[in-house]
Amino acid sequence: MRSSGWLAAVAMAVCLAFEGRPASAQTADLTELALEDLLNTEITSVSCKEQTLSRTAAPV
Amino acid sequence: MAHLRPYRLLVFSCVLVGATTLDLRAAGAQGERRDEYHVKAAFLYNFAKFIQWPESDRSEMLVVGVVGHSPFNEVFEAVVTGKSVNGRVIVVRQFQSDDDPRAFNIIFIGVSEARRTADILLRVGGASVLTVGETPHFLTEGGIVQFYVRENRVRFDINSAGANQAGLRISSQLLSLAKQVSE
Repeated sequence: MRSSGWLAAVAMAVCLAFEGRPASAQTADLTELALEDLLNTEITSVSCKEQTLSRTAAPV
Repeated sequence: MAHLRPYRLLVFSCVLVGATTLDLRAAGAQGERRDEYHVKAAFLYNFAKFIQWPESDRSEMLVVGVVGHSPFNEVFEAVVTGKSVNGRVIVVRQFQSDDDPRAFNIIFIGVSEARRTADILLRVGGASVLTVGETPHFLTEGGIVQFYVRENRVRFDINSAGANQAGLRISSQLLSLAKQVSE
């Protein structure tokens, strides 16, 4: 019981951290990256993309 | 475990704050996953930096046309709004079907607009327009830069012969980073 409570807390914290990230933080710094870094940037899978895109539609 | 005891609440809060901090740090670091179109938009911005348009084109604006109504339009506008390259302010416009493609400096044709690709490239007809696309045969159709995705990363090929014909000078740095350069 105790460990499952911990697990839930950690999982929730991680989820909240990812959810709370504003879309503007994604757009703000990518142009500052060098071309080499852009080539090394991993992109989100298609399943995540829909969600990300709909979030970026909000005004920044 | 109906109620969280105070110390548990404290521990939970610490974990929450810790995870958020780590996440914010990761946002600025390499290796984090980004949306594909954010990355492509940043590439497009970089292309503008590493390409020289002919001397005859002295406009203070660098006009980017986006073909189709893909989410890329909003992403790209958000990425480049207020930015300038080499002293030219970047302006993003939706490409309308009756627009003259030669009035743009850069045209991005998304994968959803594959049917219009050949027609638009034909109408560009060797003018100094950087055409950027995503369809598999974009370069053989006469396009200049083609995006594709390998191993979850955005890559690009360059049609350097096409760029020369269009009077666009592509920096050697950009050419060296392209996976394939067709002469």
